[in-house]
Amino acid sequence: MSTVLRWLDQRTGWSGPIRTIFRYPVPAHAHHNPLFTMGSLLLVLFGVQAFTGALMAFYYDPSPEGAYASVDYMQFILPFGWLVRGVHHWAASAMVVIVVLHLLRTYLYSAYKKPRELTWLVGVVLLLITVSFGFTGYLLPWDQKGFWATQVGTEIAGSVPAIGSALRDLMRGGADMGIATLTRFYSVHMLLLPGAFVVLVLAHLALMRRHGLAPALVRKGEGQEKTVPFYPTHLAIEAGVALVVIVGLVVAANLVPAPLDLRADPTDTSFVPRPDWYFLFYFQLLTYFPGGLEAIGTVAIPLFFFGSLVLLPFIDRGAERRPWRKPVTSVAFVLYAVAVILLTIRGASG
Amino acid sequence: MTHQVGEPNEARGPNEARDLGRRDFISTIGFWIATVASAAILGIPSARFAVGKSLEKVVEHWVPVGAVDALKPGEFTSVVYSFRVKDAWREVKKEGLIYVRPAPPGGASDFQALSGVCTHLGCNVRWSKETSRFACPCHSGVYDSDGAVISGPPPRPLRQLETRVTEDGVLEANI
Repeated sequence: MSTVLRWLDQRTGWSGPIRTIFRYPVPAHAHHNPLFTMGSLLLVLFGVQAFTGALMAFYYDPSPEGAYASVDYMQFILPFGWLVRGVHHWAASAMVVIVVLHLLRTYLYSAYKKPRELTWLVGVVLLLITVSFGFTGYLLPWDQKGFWATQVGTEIAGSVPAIGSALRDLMRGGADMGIATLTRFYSVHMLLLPGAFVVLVLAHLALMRRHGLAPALVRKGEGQEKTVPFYPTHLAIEAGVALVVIVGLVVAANLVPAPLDLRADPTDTSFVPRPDWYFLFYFQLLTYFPGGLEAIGTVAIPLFFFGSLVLLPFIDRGAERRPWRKPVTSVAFVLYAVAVILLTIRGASG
Repeated sequence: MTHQVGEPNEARGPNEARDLGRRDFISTIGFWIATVASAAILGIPSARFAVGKSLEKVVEHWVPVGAVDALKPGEFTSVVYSFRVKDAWREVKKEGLIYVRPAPPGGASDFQALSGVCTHLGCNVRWSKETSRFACPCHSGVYDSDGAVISGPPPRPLRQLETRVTEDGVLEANI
């Protein structure tokens, strides 16, 4: 074995970089805090999505006439179709939950501060990509839920002042939803977004390794903090967490199968469109801006929300990192969280 | 003349350094011209390809919505229209929802046809005979029987469609 490895190393020279990656010292505070496993869990979930997505592409028919029947076939006829599609469905929701937890941990540890501003910015773009995966994904079965959610989603783009209708038609591939919409969303969902995700994740990881994890908020005792090696000590924890989540996905797929509504019907008036839970707060927000104020709900508030995330490291530049000593950012965080939770609850009950 | 990598410029004579500076300048310009040209050669057609026919104007289409005699005065009938149309590379059945009724007296035309699509975010509205209102299930937009917004977020009234009656007594709407 060692002869093979030596042979490989003489030709690739990879043993050095691999050793650097796996012998990375992880600070003890991060090793003992489950919130620090969220990043690697997202990588695992992305792998799960890429794998189950590629499997579903074996059977998926990206056309309005065939999409629904092909998804129905994989869900109900193919062996373990319920599992592959169910895991893909639940992992999508899990990714949103974990990406938010990952962002909250970074926020609470003020890990966006100098010199980690770029790591944070790349992370914000990755959050947007994660949400875009959800938006482009649920049109693909061409069922009622996906069709109407996309109808509403593309109309939201249509409400952007001046360029809205062009933007909407570009997203749809025409004035109405049709085959060009489906193929566009399919391409973006399974090629462009994953490509962008991989590139940005590599940048995110490289930046994270360059600057290291943010130190503990409160130092205990004097001297340097203890560390543990990334492999095997810390990676064992991360693999354990990943295993628990994967088992959870399988159980969820079994107990609550991935939904498939009736086939999309653009003439139906009985269907009440509601997006997936992670878009409910936004869907509900749009209720409150009548007439000419529409663009405030559809464009201005989301821009403000993401704009504040982008600008955060450049606004909050002080050395203080403890949340209880930074009332402005902590109160802003609580307000954002309360607003999103209340809107989600209202949207779910509406 | 070749130069060694890492050899400091100070070790060269003034002519050599100028020569090297000029060569670096030309290489830099060359690099950027080649890169931008390559990106443009592929990028501009790619962008046009991606836009495709997305931004083309929709052609007007008259669709039959039923016999004039079948419409009851003062009462909206929901009509699901459908016609074959070329959708990108396929011919498909395009469907939609409109509401029609004989127009109230004094109107500009004999019939009133309203698009069933909410002007807020494109959901289908429902007509309620009891309240004489159109309601949108998405964000609770409400319109009166003329399609004017009464409450909720819709920014515009329901779209009024042109109508005409064929020689056979069939009402058509321009969608």
